[in-house]
Amino acid sequence: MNSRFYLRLAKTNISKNRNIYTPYHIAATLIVMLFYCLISVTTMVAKSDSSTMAFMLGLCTVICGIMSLVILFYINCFVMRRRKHEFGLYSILGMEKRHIARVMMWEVMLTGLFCIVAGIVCGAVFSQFFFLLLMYIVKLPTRLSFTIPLGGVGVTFLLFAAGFALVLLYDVLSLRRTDPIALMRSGKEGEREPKARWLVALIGLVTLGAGYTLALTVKTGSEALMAFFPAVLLVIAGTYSLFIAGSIALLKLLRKNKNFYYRPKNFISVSGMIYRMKQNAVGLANICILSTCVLVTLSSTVCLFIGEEDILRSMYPRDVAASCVANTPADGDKLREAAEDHAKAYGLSLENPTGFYRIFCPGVRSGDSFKVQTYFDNSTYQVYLTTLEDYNRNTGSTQTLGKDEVLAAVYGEPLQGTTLSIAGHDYRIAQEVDLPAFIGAADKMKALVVVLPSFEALQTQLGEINANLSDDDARVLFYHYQYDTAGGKAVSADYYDTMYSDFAAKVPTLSRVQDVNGARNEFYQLYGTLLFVGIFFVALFLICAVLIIYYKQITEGFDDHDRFRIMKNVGLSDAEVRSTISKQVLLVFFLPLLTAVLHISVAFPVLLKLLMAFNMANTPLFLGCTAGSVLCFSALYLVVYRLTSRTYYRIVQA
Amino acid sequence: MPLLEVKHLKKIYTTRFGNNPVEALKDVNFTVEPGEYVAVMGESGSGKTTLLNILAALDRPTGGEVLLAGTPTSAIPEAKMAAYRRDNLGFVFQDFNLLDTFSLRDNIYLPLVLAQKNHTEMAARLEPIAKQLGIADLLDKYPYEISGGQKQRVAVARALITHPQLVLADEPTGALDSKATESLLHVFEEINKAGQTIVMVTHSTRAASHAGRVLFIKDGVVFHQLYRGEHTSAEMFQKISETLTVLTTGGNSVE
Repeated sequence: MNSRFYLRLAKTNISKNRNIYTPYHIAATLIVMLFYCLISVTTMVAKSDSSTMAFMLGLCTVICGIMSLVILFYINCFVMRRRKHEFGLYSILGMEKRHIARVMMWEVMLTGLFCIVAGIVCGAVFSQFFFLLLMYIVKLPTRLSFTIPLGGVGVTFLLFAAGFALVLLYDVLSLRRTDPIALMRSGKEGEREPKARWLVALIGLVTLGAGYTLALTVKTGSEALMAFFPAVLLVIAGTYSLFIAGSIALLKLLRKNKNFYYRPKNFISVSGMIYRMKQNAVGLANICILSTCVLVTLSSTVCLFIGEEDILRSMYPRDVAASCVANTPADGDKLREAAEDHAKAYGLSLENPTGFYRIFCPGVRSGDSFKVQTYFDNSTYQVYLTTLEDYNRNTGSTQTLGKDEVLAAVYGEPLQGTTLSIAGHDYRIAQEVDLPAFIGAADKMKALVVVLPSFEALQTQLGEINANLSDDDARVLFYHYQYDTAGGKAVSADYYDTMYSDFAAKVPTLSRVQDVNGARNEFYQLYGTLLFVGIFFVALFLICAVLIIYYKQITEGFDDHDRFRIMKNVGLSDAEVRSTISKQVLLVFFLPLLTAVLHISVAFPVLLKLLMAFNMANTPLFLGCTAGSVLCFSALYLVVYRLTSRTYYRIVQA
Repeated sequence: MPLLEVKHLKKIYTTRFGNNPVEALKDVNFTVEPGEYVAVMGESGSGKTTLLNILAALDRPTGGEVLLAGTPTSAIPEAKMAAYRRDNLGFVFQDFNLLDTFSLRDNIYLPLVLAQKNHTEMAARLEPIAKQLGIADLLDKYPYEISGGQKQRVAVARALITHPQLVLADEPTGALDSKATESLLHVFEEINKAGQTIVMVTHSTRAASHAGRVLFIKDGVVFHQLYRGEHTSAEMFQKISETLTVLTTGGNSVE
């Protein structure tokens, strides 16, 4: 037997197993294409000077590469499982394992070569499109230059060549471990009825419940950050155990109910589902988790991207935010004047100026007394101290305070008494007020705002706070000045560029000047890249989910073919067969989607709070993004369902 | 009135590739009276499975007709065919056709569930049948847990539970060892004595020797038939063997 023979056999095998191999080829090509696009976009971005973007894209490329290989392996396992019988037949016809291994080698080589080359070619075509998309998203100007980075081609080729080599190694090793009779018989052995594993089902229920409870009970952003990953792990564990054991336990309960069970449709569905769940629970749970990943990624990245301007405004309520250390009340005046002079020099004026003195520190609360410590954690309050004058001016009120009297506002546990102690200094609370907006307290974080009678009182308090802190940790009294720029003219870049140096000349204690424009560019790059990366991962997840669904349908089709033939013999009409099949398929198919939607609904509050860590606090927007993602994904899922169930029906009714 | 009448039955298959038609049944005529136990014998390719498929209304004849209790099966609309089969016919197959996903009890219930019978009635019907077939203790097991002979008894129970007018058996002993065969044939005799009409297709002389009448099919026609009358199974066995010898050796000279 010469090598031509093996090559020919490999070719025939691939074309004979078209309904298994075509999706494999398409998926592998898409994966190679995505990876190549990502790597070539990264190369193109690296040439420009955006280091944040290049770093994020680079990181994403690595993760994407690893995921690609995992998916490749996963598909290959499916393909091999379906073909075991065929290899068994070859053994019986007299081919030795090394001969089969040679056929396998040709098959993998043909598949690998085709997919890598096709993937890189498609990638070369589409990478420019992706690059333009990225530039459009991050709102950077682009010059259209079509490049094919050779390094990217090389890396893609090597990575996937290695991937396919591993696949081949795995196939050959798994061939070595089996004997022909086992290969022939695989898939035919009478499967035992799965046992209802009540304990696992219970554990699943408990872990899922715990995950959900964790997700539903978080109150603050930092809690959400802490709780998110444990909750995700719990929910994943719960999903797997419920799909694997819970489903079977539930079906067995249904079977015990004789009046329900002995109805034509339930009878066939319930008993069939028990087996179906045994074989497919893991696959279904995978689909469910992947779908949830898609939904979470899509909704949050889209939301961040759309909500960029909101986030920007919450971080920069005004166009410009400047601050200086205030040792005397005059320091604030200097900063104000510097800002006005600077604007005047450009023929502009200030609008909506807000200025205030502020001490900001972490406070540990016990009762109504707050001790200052050096760091923020879950239990600390964000303590803001300011003056009465600033409070009255910025809120338009006309409060008065005596010595050691304060106005207080709190977010978190309500104040209990009429006195308040900060770093050992006792105050009488003249009045409790609402949290003033100008102070810039972070949304939904435990906060205490105290309005002291005067600048001097603020300085005294600062001394008391710093008495217990080392010099390195000492808190500082700042003057913050924020304003928009107005004047009808377009504001030149120069206006912003010269701001810092101009201010610094007049204000010796200047600490920083930020403008919304510079921040905006950074934001677009950060969130735009996040969205871009999100799109890539969604694409990968989708490919994976679609493939699992497709192969599941095929496998089930072959199983059900025999079952339904027998039922027809015993007196089930074609119409009944069809309606039973569609009921079963629908249930199995949409179970993961429904669970995924349930997961994301429960995760919604946590995600919302996590987004707040990005200063994204627009609930309706996130709700819209989530609903949109769910709708789009469901529509896509439906299309996949339609396409794959056609194949399924063809197999069952053959 | 005969329970089953087969008149001038003809079946021609045309294969997908190449257009030379194969005539599986040429002109088959016979009748079966209520309570009869008829075996249909013939070599592989003689058309006996085709005949059974047509009797079971799983296949349509090219010509001629089949009447069950006076009703031509061709008159039953396609939509009602499955229900008709379920109500009037019971099937026993060579490879049992039991579903691994059901317990034995549920396998037997299957046709009744499809006919929307209620659960208490199903249980009431199953009890005597299970006792008669000696499978009452097995009912909660699964098909993969029992022997071939036991599987076939379960299949018989499934065929009988609808109280069909006619039981059709296709090589029911084909996959059984000699002990299980003997015991199954005994079961068939028993249920036949209880009044059940049976038509069994087989090429096993032993299986046929238990029947009340044996039809021999060759080249698509009923070639010969033997009545058991007062003969014992052993004598019947002898007669069938002789007939088969004539069929295979002398038969050729007839043409």
